[in-house]
Amino acid sequence: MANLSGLNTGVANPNPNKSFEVLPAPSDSVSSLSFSPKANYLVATSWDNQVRCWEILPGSSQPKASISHDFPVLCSTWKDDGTTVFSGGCDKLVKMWPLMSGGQPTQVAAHDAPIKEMAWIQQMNLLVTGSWDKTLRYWDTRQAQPVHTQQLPERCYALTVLYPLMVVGTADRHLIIYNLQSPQTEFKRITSPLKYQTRCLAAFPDQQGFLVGSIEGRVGVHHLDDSQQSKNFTFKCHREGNEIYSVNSLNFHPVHHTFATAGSDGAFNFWDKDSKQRLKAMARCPYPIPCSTFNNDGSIFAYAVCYDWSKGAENHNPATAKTYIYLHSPLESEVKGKPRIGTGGRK
Amino acid sequence: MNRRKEPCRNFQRGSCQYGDRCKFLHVAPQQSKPSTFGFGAQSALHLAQNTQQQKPNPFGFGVSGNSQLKGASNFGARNQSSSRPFENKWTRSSSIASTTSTSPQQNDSLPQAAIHKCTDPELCKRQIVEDFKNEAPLWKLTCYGHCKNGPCDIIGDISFEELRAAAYEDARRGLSLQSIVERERNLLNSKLIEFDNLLRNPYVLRNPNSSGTSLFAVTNSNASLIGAQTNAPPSFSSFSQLGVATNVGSTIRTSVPGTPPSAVFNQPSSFQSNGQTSGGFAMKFGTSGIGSQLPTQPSGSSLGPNSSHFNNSVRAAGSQHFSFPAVSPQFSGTSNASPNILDGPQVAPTTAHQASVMEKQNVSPDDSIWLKEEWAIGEIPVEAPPERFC
Repeated sequence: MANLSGLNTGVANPNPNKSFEVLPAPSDSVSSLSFSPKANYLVATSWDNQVRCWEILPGSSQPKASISHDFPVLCSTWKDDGTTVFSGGCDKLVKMWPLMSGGQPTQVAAHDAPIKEMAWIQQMNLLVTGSWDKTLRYWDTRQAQPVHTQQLPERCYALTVLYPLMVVGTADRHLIIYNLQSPQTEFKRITSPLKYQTRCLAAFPDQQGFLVGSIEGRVGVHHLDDSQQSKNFTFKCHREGNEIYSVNSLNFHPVHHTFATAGSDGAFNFWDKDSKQRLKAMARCPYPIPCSTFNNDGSIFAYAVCYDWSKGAENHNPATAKTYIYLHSPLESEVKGKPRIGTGGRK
Repeated sequence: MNRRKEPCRNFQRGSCQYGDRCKFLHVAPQQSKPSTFGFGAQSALHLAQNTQQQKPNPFGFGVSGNSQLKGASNFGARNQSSSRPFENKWTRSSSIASTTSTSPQQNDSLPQAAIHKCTDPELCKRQIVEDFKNEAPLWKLTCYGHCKNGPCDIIGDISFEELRAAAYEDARRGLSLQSIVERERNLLNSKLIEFDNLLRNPYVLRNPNSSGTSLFAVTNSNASLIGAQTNAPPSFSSFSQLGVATNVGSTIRTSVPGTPPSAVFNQPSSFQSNGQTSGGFAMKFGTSGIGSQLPTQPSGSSLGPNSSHFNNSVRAAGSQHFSFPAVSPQFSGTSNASPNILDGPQVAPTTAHQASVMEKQNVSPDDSIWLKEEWAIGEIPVEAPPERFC
């Protein structure tokens, strides 16, 4: 599946996992997906400058509303009460969209370079945004100026927040950990345990550590506490033969605390880090999966299948490029943790 | 899991191969209390350590900062296993397996506070070779560190989204798909040069700490690059060839350095049709009215100037071994987008700094380096500033 230059005849099945397809699909690649924390509303941001929202009902999806930016939108997040969506991207600003009440979007944040990641911090009532201008900014949506600007060593590539743990991944393999109780101080700054570019992060639900994914088909499991460093490990995934694909997305299941990885090879897998097993390998889709997410109770796993630029501009054919958003209902066997495979005695 | 109450002797030394499965207790030599939350008093102590030690060296973070952290985590002189490279047996990677046989002898020679000084350069070199052979990802525009948790050997990351945003921006300004592809190819080639240089000269170039070695490094890299011109790494005309050709190329290089990689050079030409077909479509993304009339032999001509400018860029790379941004104007999206953009005054191959520069639309790419307040070693431009800054 390495050649993505759009064969028109005999196109591989775009939905080998028989997932539910969300329609109408965006006209250009999806950059982020996020579910409302309160209900099954899915928001997708896309390179076609749109932010779209669907209501997901059993067996169907209803498009609800959409807004547009002037430039591609890269990230989105919901407010904790499920009423408002924030979105930002290459236009270097963030729009706050109270879509549940039918309101119009307003601008609430700005950076000097495209905004790559954002998260809503409920406990602080602030939005945090990470940008390629090497800063992290905290915003109270009622004020035009950021509450705080935090300098990063490099451009922000990944962000994960689980109060009070926040981990920021930047270019050149820096990982900066913050305790949001004192957000102005870096709690710790480490270099990634992986050897190549950091692509995605996910904080453990118990906040003991985080997962880091890179472009080299590898995920690192890192614990924060030095006394738990022995439990750190890395594992390989999203590789096929000699081809090593990027891990684009890491998501923990909200209930079972297992996690899913999605990669540029078009596959997504479910893993259990405590027993160090892969729970389920799903079938490969013909295009990469740039982003994915679970809904609030883990009953739906949404993923986008579309070109992620992992092979540059020349493999992008706007005329034939396809974008899909699928919803997978994970079976319990796929996402429920399993006990360790017995290791027996020593040798 | 722990069948005996004895502490594990190997773990104390930092080299227990059983990891979690070990039936002895993996207790740190200094018996620290694990704080369940990770943000307890113990860690606060580390926090204090870290912030004190990190401040003096913001730019050299990658090297000395690391040592501070390791120092902090070694506060109790414990848990050395994760901070030492090549000893972390808990990775399930087969590429580490090749180093495990040599690591026992490595144990004692590695410094505790691991600024990775490459006490065993042969081992590091082997690690790098191994990585480039087995662990070479498909995405090439990346930083690289041969040592887990260690500083980067190659910096200058470009992410998928940055490249895509730059392409969309160029398309919006009216560049043709072909010129965008050319620009991306240049980025790719310069990055491949960097990787190749690292392979040839690990730890001669990459230590930004000692300015003494940087002069040395320049001459070294020149010497190696002159050699490189006769045995040039393959210049790729497309991303999709990389998965095959790079691995082939690197094995050619490591085994028989003198062999002209003609086989590898032939590969790009066989893929030219890819470039052509994708170039034939009008670009939808971002703009209207982009002519779809592309020159009929874009790939053919690109290979020619590519190799000649490859030599230019190789020489230029020698003088700036970090290949940092003295950015050539072609990337600011000037009009007359033609496939021969390469004929412009190309000072040096460009890397990720350029990608970040592309986003700053107020500052022209050339100027960002002059606007910086402080230059890191390796970033210092070689040419004089343009007149507007004097």
